[in-house]
Amino acid sequence: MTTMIFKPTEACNGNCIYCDVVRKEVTGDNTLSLERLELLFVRINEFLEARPQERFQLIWHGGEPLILGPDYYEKAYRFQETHCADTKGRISHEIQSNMTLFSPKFVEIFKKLGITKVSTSYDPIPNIRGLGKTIDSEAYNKNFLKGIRALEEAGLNWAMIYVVTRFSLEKPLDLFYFLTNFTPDGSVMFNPVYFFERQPMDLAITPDEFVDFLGEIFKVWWPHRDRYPTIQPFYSLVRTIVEGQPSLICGESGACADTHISLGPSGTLSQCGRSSDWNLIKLGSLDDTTLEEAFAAEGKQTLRDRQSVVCEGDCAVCRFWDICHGGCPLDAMADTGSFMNKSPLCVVKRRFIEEYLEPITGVRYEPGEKKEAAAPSHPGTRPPRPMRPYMPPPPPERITPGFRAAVDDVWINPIGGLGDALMLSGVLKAAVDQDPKRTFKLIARSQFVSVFSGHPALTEIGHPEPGSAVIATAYWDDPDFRSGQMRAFQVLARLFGLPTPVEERLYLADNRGPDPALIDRIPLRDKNILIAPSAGTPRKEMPYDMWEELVRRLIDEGFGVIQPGTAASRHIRGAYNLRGILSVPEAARLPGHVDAVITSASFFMHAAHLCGTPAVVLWGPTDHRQYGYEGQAHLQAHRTCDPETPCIRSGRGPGYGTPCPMGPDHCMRRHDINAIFSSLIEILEKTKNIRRPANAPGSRPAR
Amino acid sequence: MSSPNLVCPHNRKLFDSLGRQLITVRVKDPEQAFVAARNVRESGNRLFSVIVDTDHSLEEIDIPDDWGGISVALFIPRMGRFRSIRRKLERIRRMKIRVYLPCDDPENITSLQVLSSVGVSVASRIIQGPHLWEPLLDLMTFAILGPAPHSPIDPFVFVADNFETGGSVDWRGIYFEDPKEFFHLDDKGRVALSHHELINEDFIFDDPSDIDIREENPEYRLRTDPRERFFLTDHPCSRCPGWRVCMGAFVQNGAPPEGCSEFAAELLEVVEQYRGMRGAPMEKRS
Repeated sequence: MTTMIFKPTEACNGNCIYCDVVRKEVTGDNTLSLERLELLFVRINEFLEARPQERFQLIWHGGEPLILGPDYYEKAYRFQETHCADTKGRISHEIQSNMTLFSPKFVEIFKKLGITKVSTSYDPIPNIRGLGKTIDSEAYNKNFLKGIRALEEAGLNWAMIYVVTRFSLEKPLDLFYFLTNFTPDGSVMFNPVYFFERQPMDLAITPDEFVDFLGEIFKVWWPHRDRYPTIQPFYSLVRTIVEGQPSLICGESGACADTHISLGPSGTLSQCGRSSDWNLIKLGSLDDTTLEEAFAAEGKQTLRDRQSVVCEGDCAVCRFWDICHGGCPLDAMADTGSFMNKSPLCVVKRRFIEEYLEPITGVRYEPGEKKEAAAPSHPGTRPPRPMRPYMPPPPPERITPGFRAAVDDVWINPIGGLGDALMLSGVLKAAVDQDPKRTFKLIARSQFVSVFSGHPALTEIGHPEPGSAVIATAYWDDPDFRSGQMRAFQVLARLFGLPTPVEERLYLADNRGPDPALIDRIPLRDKNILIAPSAGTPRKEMPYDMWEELVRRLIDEGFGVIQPGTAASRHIRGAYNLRGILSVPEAARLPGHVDAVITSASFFMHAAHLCGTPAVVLWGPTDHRQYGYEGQAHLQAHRTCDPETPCIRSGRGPGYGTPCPMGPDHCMRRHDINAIFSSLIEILEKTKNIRRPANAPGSRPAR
Repeated sequence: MSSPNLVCPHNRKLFDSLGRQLITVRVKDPEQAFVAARNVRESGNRLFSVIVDTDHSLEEIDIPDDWGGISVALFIPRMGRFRSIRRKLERIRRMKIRVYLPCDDPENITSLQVLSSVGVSVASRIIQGPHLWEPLLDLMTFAILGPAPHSPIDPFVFVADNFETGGSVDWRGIYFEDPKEFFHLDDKGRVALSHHELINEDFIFDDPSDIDIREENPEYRLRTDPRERFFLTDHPCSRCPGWRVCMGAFVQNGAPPEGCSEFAAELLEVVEQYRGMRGAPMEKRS
């Protein structure tokens, strides 16, 4: 991806004490003209047309970019629509703003441009960031708060960049807690204050001081990294060193010459934001230089050459080369007057890793490919270690070569959730009913053992010898399932050789329900509903405030409401709480003790089918036509996100445990409580005289 | 913006003047609870809950049958002898009653645990001091991590259930004290943002209709936006490790009480330990 630091203006309403831009001598235009703005999109389009695989990220920067007003952004959008008709899908916009000028007027155009998050800065220390000659931080902070409140009300997000100055060094933890408490999701990036040519002693910090500042925070962050997941630079360093997934920022990638470019207000192309602020590495004027030409300019070649010079010189024996590449060339220039030296801030990284990160995490960084790197793409340069993009795990081999030949001793590798296990159990029962001699073994996965214990199709639950015939149950990788042509149950049935379509009966060998003593204690009413809000993934869950509203409605209408689930699932106020006290078989039989089930598309949908209890099932990202059972009421919320990017389907594993990125537009929020309630009444009426299947618990406790 | 919940005294005239509002009614006499609830409903308003704020212990209160259809928040000073309430337990469990006990006395903290263990929903009144932090820490740990089945002990279970990584939880609503949701009215319809302020006649609005335009009131915004209140000033709560599960709830007269920061930080640790049980297996499909 190519990133452009786009500085359409150097004007700013702020007067932050460390800012180079507001102190910069104005030599050209202060704001990019509309003619040049239009030309920019012409240039981007020709650049992307020549690189069909490339994406282009435009980071609006300044000065203060909001000073331009929403109309300027509207014009940018129009130019993009006009000149990038075929490439606009590969252009993304981000923005860095002080937020003091943000108002609801920006919301619509931000959304049009796809801007969902604003990077901003704040400093609780007075008179560091402020307005006007007096650097009035009180007025700045009030406007800042007003801005982020408006941003949040529009459903947009923001993240914090904090600049560490001498004033910050006194109480690192106080600052850390303040900033993480203040930001909505606790994301903060700590950067040292940078200066070029001037070194105000009351503000500047040494690299060692920055290391110790970070070190104090890291001691607290590491044991609580789940609480504050994206604190930079810790997050990237831990991903790179501890998790082995290189996550390098521009200055340490060694590739910034080929990934970054900037555009200033007078149309000057430069390497990056800082080089633009400092009037370094000019690559030509937008007026007569294409982006392709800018990337081939001499200044870029200097940076590429730097890689080999630094690698063979200053950094020759450094074990951190792979994750540093000599550091930011602008830092080197600021400190030594030459790009061909390593960054003075390399001490920050090295000392931080050696004195804090490695001892605290217990993980020592071992360089991987420094000496074995592939031939450089640019003569005389060592290419940066390529960043590993996310690759979904390879689909499991569903049928091993030995499977067809094997009659017995085929091992089943059960994959998925408990609902999948109930389906598999039903398929195996059908298989063994059809041919009683046909038996299998099951690879022991602790969460499934209780589902399959005593299953007549299984002779063993354990661990196979190497080379055993194994059949995996990842039905979601089947082309017929992925194309929507076959239901999950039918794919599984076909996998085990059953003629399809087959009747979809679930099976659970353990037919003991919940302990009668427990059932007796539940304050059941005349009609009782089991609710199951949790689904293993937040993407399939209706928001909890809606569940609470539903439960209130049910109770007001005289229903008893019980909620099973795992101990750590969320309790819905008003529901009788059975979370965490039932085994899987007990939970699977619980629907047999209520009149109906209202559930997300999860285990309890299958359990309701197992017990023959009517169910209202709330669908969103998954399709009821592939999982839902006949006779159940299926309420399908239509997805609001791009249908071409299935959010939790096969190959989308990492999205499974994370909330829907659509926020308030999450499809599950489109469910209507009245519709759910009406469906419940309807299904209760419809099914009140239908007998339960033979394998469902037939008796209910007296009420 | 959530719809306002008006906490009112038992005053039919006041109810009639409000019309179609969500109302919580506060009474002192347990025997008045049902009548107050009926009056709210008959006035065309919607009943949220009845607060019975009495000086009697649970032992001394007869739980009437007519509480069956209403949600009751029973604010009492102490439980009383357990053997004397034994016979009421079944009735309490089958009704929508939550028992609130102050936590300035070790005996009350034990009582909360006892009641929870026998299936009664309880809440410790930890907004008010003085606080016995050590016994409260034990109670909190039992409430969230105790493996034996027990009824919720709030606010701890509420925090544990509602906290998400990266987020924060405001639990003052349990005590009808969340100024974003609860508005405390006197007989004349004047509005305060907490029961304490109501008693001190520290009103923010003179008329309930002002609640509809509350966001335009700078003082209201100051009181309800914790960032304005705690982060634009040099307030110690802004730097507290436990902020995300407290949000300044313990602050009295502008300052946090001693020990609350350590308590909130420990609460957050326990909640995270509890939430860690949840997991999110990457391969789950259905």
